[in-house]
Amino acid sequence: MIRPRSSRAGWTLVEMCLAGLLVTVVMGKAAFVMQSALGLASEETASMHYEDQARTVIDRIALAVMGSDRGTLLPQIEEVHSDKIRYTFSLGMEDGVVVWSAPEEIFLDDTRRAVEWRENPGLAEERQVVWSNLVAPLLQGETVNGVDDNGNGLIDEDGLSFVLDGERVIIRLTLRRPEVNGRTVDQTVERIVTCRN
Amino acid sequence: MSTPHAHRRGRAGFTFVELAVTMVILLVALLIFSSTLSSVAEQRAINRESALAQEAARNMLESLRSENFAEVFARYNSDPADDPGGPGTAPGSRFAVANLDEAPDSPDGFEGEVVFPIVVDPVAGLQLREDQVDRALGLPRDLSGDCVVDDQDHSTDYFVLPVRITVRWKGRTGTREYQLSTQLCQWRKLA
Repeated sequence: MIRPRSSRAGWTLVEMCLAGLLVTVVMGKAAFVMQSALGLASEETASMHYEDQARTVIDRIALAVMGSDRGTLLPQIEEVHSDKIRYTFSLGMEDGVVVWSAPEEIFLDDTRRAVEWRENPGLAEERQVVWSNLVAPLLQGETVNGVDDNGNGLIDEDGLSFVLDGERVIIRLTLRRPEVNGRTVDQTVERIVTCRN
Repeated sequence: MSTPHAHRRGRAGFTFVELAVTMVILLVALLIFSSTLSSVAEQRAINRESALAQEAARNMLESLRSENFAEVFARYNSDPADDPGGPGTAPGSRFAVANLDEAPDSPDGFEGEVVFPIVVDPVAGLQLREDQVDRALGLPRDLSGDCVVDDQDHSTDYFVLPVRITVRWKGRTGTREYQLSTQLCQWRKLA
């Protein structure tokens, strides 16, 4: 006997509901997975971006310090961190004498949370350029408590810190992305340089 | 004239097979998308590891450069007995690299190593030699400035010091290595 409707009738309401539910569940899961993956990818992209920026800035600082004379660096105190460094660098030789540049300074502007470079600081012809903003108030892992929280030997160091250690200058920088969805992204880079002049 | 069958098919919507094919296509697309994201994330991690290794090697090179040139070999070789400040007082040849995991074959848990062209003599100990063959370090070459490449120890009279900084770590794709080879030399600051 032939069942006249069943072979041509398509789905019943129950089948439709089940199929709809199944599709909704699968699509919902897929959307959730995609959203999570995109969130992670976006977080990683931000992290990479800030790391790149931090490396670019620390390269500029390192090159500036590298061209300087260790004896002209200020402050001169060793093993203590500072959020600024003042230096002069060699412009070359003239009549057998090294010609030094005008004094320059790289420092952390606390109010703008920025790394700034300044030429002729404090003089009438002073020039100032912001090299990077979004500097963290403190180096990654550090809190203001009088203790070395991040184990680098320094206490309560700023987001930009210089340490003079013999002939070496150790530069550390942490950039922090402003909070997005309750999460921040910190990127820290460290560079050691030796003055060449 | 339309048959009842044709009339019905025109309004029937998706069949089960069509729906299943659609879902398979969607799932395959999702799979491709997620595997692409995963590959990108992995490549980023690999690049980051490389950047960390390069940075550590460069930092170590700067540390070597900041030392008293005549003491660099003694302070950064693997023999603690010849440390200028007394045995075991110098940094030595091995160093840690932050944010990288040591390679499974690391003898001491460190990732970095400073390597010089040496020969271990059973009697005399570690010798800095200029007759080693190492193209990356530019050897053999005269290290002492006497215009002769000999088989003597030049650990106390070198004026050029070939050095290789190796960072070896356990990365996402297995054990990886970064090498930086250069030559340090004595220079004098002009007055």
